[in-house]
Amino acid sequence: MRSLLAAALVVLFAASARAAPEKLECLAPAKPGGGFDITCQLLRLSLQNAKLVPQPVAVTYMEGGVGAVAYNHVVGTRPADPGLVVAASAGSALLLAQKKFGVHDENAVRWLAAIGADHGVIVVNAQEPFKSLKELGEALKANPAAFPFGGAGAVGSQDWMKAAIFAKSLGIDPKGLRYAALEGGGAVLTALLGGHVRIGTGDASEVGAHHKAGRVRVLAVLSEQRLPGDLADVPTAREQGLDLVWTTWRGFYMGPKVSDADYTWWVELLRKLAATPEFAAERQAKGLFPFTKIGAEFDRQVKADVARFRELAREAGLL
Amino acid sequence: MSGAGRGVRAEEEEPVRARDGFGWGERLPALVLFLVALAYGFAAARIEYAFSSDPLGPRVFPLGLAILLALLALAWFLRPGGAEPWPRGGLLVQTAGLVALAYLAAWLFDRAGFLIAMGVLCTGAALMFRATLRQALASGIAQAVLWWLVFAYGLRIPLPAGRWFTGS
Amino acid sequence: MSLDYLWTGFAVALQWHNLLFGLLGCLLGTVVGALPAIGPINGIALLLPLAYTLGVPAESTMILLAGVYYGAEYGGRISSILLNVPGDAGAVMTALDGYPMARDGRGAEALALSGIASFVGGMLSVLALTFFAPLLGQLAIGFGPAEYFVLMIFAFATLTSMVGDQPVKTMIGAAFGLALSTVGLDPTSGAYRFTFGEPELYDGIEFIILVIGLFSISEVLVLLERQHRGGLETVSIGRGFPSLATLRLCLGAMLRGTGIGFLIGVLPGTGASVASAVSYTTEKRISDRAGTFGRGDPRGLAAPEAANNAAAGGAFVPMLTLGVPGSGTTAVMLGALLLYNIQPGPQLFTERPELAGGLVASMYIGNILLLVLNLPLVQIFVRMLLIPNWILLPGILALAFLGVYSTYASSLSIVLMISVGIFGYLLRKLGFDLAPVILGFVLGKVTETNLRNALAISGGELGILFASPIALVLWALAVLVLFAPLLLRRRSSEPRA
Repeated sequence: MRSLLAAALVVLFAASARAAPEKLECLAPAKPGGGFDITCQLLRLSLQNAKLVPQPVAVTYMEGGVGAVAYNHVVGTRPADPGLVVAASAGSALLLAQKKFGVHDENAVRWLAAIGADHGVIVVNAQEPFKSLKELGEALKANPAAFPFGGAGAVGSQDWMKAAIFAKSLGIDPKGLRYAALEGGGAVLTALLGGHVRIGTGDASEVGAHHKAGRVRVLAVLSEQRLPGDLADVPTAREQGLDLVWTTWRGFYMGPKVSDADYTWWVELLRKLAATPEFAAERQAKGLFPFTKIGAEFDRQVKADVARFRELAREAGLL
Repeated sequence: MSGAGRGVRAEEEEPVRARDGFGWGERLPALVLFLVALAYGFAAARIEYAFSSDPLGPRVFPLGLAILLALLALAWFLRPGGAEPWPRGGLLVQTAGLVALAYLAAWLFDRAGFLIAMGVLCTGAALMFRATLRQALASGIAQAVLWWLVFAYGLRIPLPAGRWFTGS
Repeated sequence: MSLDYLWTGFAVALQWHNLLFGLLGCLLGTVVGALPAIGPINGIALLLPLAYTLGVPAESTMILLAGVYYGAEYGGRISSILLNVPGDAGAVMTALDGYPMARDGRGAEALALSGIASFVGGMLSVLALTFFAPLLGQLAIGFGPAEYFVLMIFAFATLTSMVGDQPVKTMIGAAFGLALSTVGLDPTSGAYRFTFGEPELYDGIEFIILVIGLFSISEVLVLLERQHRGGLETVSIGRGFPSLATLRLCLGAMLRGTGIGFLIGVLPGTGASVASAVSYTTEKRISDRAGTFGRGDPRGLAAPEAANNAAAGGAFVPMLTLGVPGSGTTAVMLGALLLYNIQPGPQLFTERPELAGGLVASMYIGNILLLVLNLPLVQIFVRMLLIPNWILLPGILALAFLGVYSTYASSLSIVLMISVGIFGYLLRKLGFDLAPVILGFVLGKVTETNLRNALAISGGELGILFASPIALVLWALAVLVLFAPLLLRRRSSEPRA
């Protein structure tokens, strides 16, 4: 009975929200070319190819403040814009958890949907003797100073967190890690290849081809299940007895004062989009793995992530 | 060098770098720099961070720079090397006017929109560079429209239409 | 690696429609390069989705994008030379001698010379790329944090050549630039430094805002003053081509600029701005015996121009050999390949020879196209100097606004840019050169981050800075550069036997 009522409500909402926003805009809070741009381009291209809406999605850019400038801009200046979605990622949630995202918290916007994800990896040079995460873990535990880590980002960033949860699972204090904060995943790979660092943390999409080509060896993917594609032969950390999961979802938020009707219009649109083959093709072309959470489900995911990240940061001594 | 008759050598145009009396024109900025260096060093010492993965941490490099800057500021204060005279009279008014015009155009940018802000900026600046009113207006309007077309349509970079008109 | 891929590539790139794409890319690149703050990234971001949607094949898209990339390097110098307003990061050094040349009635010559230097740098770097790419890929891998730090020490050693008649002010400028580079998120500890809680400052002071503010805005204010004193006359544009003697004079500068620029460009951690800066300061250190650098010495123009184009070519090395981007723009091009489901890396040469070869071949063709395009265009570009000041100077202001706004989409960044400009004006009046500020800023972050990363890896042991052969060579070069002028002076003062 209750679900029937809820269904009726949804239909009602959907009906009242049938009027689509006049202009659709996806704001990437960074320079063209980065992960946020890819998220917006995925939305733009798959909507265009699947022909679900007549109007095109315009992709705009607002660089600055690791994404916080756009967050403030949307909350402060365009809180009710029905056509505006802003790209975000688990990295944004991590910054929110550490209160490094300006004055607003995770409740300041309406979280719309995740449309794909990347998964954490732990990777070494192919010439290292280690064949599994366990072997590496034992060697690291025996002599942490011999294993400098390299990741794309500072202490407290996603790549550092991956190193930190790995260390913690071995009983090593993350503060004692030797960790070089490099500029981007490409720099991590070159540093690994050159032997400047010995353990790399990064994202599956960036190392897949290099793993396949035999230049580096991915010892574990930090996902719940094995990944398709280039890394299909790599076991998860869980399979190897270490409960390490790091999922970098990519998705969108909307302004806090967007009406329920407009929010529902987007939710419905993205539900339809996520079911199309065009979307799946574009997602694969963008190097993202399937990860679709829309509406309330996504909102719960973000809030849970922020809470978990806050706990992790506290344990690591960051807060 | 035929045809270079109108050319003016750069050095001849530059006013001589010289010291006024005691050299306050430079010693005062040197003092300001010294204070800035102190403030920078003070702020550097108070940078908050949980911990760093490197032994130096985020404070050491700026602290070193603050000390270096403070010492250099003192050296400058003790031996000013010569500077150009500050603008006075009409030139000061004009310079201040151009700066104010630029800030005004920046203020108008979001509010009145790109076209009006650019029109004001280009027309005003043209007047300062000795255009007649008619020339300035023509150039100002033409440039505003031209750049709008190049950026908004050619390069597809969205420019503000103006909050005053769109009402958001 | 056999060169078969290259012949396949030329066969692809010389098809008429691909030539047309190349030409289109070169033209568009020249335009976006010439506009301040709008660079190849914008051109590529604009064209890529369009080409993809229109179903342009992958190799044609890459040829188009390579054209934009190269064209922008050629275009970036125009406003630098004619107006003292650098179009992009790599063109800051070009203004130091290019602008005085233009003020001296040698604008056309300066443009033509920079075109030729760009061609030399671009062409030689593609040749090096063709024959030594795998070897150079190894060099790129050899650079870890310690090596990058010592490279920066070398850069600072060359910087001593910038010390003019007021050494204290040069040092203040450089230290100030270094201090500016510390604002924002500390890339090692993740702390926010000097941000005062403003999200706008989290990413630090933006290079574009600093360059446009310091140069464009202050230049307009200085010109206003010059007009007031009656010194603001239209300069002549001069004859169009550098003499053979000038070219011969510049040959060494171009070759050295190419070498330095290419090697620095190959390293993923440094780009065209560092390349042109180091090549200029090195050239000044080596060649400036009469003190003519900074006053319109053609060698001071040729060296950084050759260097930034060589760096642009060098940046393709890590992309093609390692599959990692060598610069921000190649990162976008890497994204372009991914869009077509193509994974870059050494396997590209065997698996998709038409693509890898087409890209390399298009660099050869693009450089020739740009030289052929640019030499006649010089006569058109240089006429910019004949535009009345009341049109030209407001135009510079408008472009400064647009350049900043199109990158940061906020009017606050424009306000910041104007404030930086006023500050630059004050510095100039006080007898400071702006170049050391920019150099300090460019080198600052690379220096600090790599030193701290090196020490993080070694656990605080300073020995890591002297551990590798590359680091030792760089230390030796730094010492050499510091004392080179002394040695050169002594040799030239010795009586000839």
